[in-house]
Amino acid sequence: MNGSEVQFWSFVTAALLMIIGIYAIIFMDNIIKKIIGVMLIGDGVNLVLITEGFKPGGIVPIISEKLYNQSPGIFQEFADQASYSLPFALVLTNIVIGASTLAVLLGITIKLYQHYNSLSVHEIFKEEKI
Amino acid sequence: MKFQQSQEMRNLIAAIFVGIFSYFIIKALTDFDIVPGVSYIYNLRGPLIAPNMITVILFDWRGYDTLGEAFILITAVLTTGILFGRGVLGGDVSEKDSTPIRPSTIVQKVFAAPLVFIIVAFGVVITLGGHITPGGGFQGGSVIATAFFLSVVVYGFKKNVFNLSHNSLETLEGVGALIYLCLGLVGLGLSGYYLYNVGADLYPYLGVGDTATRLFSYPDSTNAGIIPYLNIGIALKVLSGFCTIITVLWGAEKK
Repeated sequence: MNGSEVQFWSFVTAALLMIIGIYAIIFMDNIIKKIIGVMLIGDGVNLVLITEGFKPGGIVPIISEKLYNQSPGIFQEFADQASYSLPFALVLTNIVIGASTLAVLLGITIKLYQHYNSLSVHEIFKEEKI
Repeated sequence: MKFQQSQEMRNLIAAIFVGIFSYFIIKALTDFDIVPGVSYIYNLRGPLIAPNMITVILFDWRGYDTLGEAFILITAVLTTGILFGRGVLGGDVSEKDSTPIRPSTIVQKVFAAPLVFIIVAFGVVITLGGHITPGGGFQGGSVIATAFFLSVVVYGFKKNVFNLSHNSLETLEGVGALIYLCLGLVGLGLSGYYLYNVGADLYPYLGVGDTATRLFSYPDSTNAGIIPYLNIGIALKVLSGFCTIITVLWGAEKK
């Protein structure tokens, strides 16, 4: 596979991850499975961002000492060749936010379990009027 | 109508909408058109500061985003803490005796401690060289937090290698956030822009002066300015944030 094919199939994979996440959130009964669905959507979004930053035939956006010693005007050449670096920084931020969200979701889940003695949505909302 | 009876109709409607959503998201992502945007400018100007472009974007060009993200982590830690008992809902979780559920074997006990030291050293290297090599504060802090998890799982809370109590973890987190905020204030005072990188000083017409540039020099050949110090602050904050969350979730027990 060449670079653009990898990019295309990465986008398809990201779309599938998001669809599986939405399916899990809507149709699964267990709250833990719903949380896994939320995390899958986050991973899909991260994959979209990484794939956007990928440049077919590009280089890693870190200047090595070898590259720097080649010529003084290497900066222009580096900027032409390097992958787009902004999405990588956004993904790094998003990973930590995902971890924070996961912690809060799990904490609320533990409290729900202590209160209802069950993780099933049907059990929790059994007596509720719609 | 009871909850149970409303399910069949709801499932049908939800299935239709999931189908529509799937069609549009696949269509949108397969027709994706990539525009470099501001990345080219970042890649062109970034090497003047430090070799690792991602750290430069994270801590210099987009320092505000990182600050906001740091406070999201603090909010998550506060929320889990309130849920499990630092506040009105219960007592101090660290006072409970949280021994491992299953006692560790002799192999785990012998080999965990050296492994913990190696992982901590690796995390420190990642943090301190974050602007030169792949890495940075987030990654280094997460790696050190992994060592903490390993030590807690094998030895339990009372006898783990780190010997960090709940209070000292909170202090550490506050120190990390304060390092970030105060380094931003230096830029505000000297140039008028919050979180301006006074050490690198890419825009000399702001009149920061040589004194500040020399104040933030880091012992290597790059021109990174305050980026390594921001890395250290973020590493402390991420480390203590993750450790507090695991402490709190570990202390939760079934009533």
